[in-house]
Amino acid sequence: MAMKSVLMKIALVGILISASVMARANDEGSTVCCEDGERFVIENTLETSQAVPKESADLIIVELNRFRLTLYRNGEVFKRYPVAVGAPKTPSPVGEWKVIHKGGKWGGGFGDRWIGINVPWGIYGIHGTDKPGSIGSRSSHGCIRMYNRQVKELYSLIKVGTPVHIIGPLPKVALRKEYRRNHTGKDVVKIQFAMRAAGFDQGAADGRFGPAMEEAVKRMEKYYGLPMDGILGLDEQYILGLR
Amino acid sequence: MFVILFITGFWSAYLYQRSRVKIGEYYIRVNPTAKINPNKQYRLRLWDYRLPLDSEGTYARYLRRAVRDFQKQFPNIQVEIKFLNLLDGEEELRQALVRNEAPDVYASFYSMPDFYYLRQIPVGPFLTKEEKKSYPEWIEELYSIDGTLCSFPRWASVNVWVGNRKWLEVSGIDIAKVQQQGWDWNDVQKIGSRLPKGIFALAGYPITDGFLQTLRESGKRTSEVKAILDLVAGMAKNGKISVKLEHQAITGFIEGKVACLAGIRPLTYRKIVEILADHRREVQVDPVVLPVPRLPGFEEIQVVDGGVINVYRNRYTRGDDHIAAAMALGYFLSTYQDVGPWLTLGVATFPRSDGVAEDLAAVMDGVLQRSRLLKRQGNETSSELMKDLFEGKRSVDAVIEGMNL
Repeated sequence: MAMKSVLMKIALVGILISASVMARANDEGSTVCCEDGERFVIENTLETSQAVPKESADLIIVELNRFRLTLYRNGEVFKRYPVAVGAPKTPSPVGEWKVIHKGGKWGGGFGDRWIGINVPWGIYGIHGTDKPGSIGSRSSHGCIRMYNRQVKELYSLIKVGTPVHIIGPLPKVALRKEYRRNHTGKDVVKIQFAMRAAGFDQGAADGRFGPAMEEAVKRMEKYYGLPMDGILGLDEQYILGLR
Repeated sequence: MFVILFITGFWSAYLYQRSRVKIGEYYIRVNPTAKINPNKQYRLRLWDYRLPLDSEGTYARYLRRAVRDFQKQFPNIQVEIKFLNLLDGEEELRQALVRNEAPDVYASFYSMPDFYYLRQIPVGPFLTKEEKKSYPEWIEELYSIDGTLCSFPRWASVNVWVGNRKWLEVSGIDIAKVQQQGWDWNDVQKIGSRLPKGIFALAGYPITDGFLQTLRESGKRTSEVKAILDLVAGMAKNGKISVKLEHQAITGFIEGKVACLAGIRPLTYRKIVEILADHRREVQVDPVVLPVPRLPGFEEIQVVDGGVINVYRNRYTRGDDHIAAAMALGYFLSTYQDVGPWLTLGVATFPRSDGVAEDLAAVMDGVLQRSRLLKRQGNETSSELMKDLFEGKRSVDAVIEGMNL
């Protein structure tokens, strides 16, 4: 009997703590500005530290030239949707991203659901729209627009951590003379693809010069007999065919 | 009774001798006459590197295909392949050796690990005379200790220099003669005098050409070594060796600002040629491959890089027939007919292949034939010493002191 009472108390304390945490999280809605230009409040924001990729057999591929988004599950096509992509002046970010945020319903230009991805140079995501006629065109500010009912379905199917590969032509970017740890940008994505093509894969082409990329640069330097400093300078860029 | 005792003693001594191999002062207990038992199942562990090479697919596919071909001859030998990271593979091997968990067969990349007396098995005694003919004499000598071949050679290479034809001709360098007969640092010194302002005579990584190793093993007196170092230090001081370009040496060469690029692997040379072949470039550079210059007054000594295959004993080794199986795999891989990946590297292969670019092969062959060859000793200290010398942070005397001549 006493045991039962202790367990009840522990359960009650647990419920109270979790309720207060949830309430606080909901109250703390922060305001951000999306690439689509509108300011809005994020609901249930996941901190980056919480957005550790989970084991998932799912993969989202957005083909910019075909205006379509495909959800693969265990290597098979599971769902396919038409989308609108970035306009020529505001192209969608080509690269290999992850879902870091499931933002619920934002409404307005963002439609019924927001799925944020971890692009390091701006806030980009997959979302619904109040302009369904734009689907199948290059008209967004870089985000991937979907029909509201379809984005709701996709939202229910995927988890935070699901990889999102946006495939399309890489933008023309000027390269810096030197790249080292913590550099980010579209140019880093371009380098990551070039390194993969040369056989020095560093994982996802996510525009971040992190430890894995530094190691890949060192591997390349070792292979070509260059000083192994993990800095991608002009010599390495020439070898990668980037200059 | 006496006869029986004599015969027993004789056989015991014979068997004892037969089951060990002498390397230097050490005896390694192994029976090189052991044979693979066709009725026994063997399981070998093979470690190689994950190389970004292409030969009808990736290197991983290439190696698996080679192993499958091996298994056609030895269906009772299973091979478990592990691919190592280029960065820490050597360290992984070192640790595995200490734990007695080294692989049965280990294939190196641009390194030749020192002979590990405790667990490494020299390969020479396991080879027949016919099999030994697969390798040229010079490579057998290079990989032998006291006449016993310790590793299976897979490929070998020497560094090259890449010259800008225009600047070398301006400097009065006879390129064809240098390619055929070699040159020395006095010739290199001449380059700088006639170059326009802003053009460097030399950039790159002479450190990686085995400069100090060559000096150390040349057998010359300290005063002679000092004279050579003075010459090189003088070039650096006069701005003829570009220290600033060290991390942009290839860039400097491609942009036509450098007459000679030092310390280049053949595959990097091929890459440079590929880049320069793009005629849309603003500055046109005609690259020529050159041998590493010898030290003035010295015989030609070249440091050789290589890929070798070693055989180790480990806690999973079951008898000398197991080692014989590992030897069979090592020999098979080292003489595998498809040398595609090594052609990509532009190195000398065994069996010899004519697939290496003609210009590169001509210079490399000449160097390998006329030089005294040294196995590269990986020496971080040497690199630091030379770097300091070029940057003027260390005097010639300090470098000599650091060399422990």
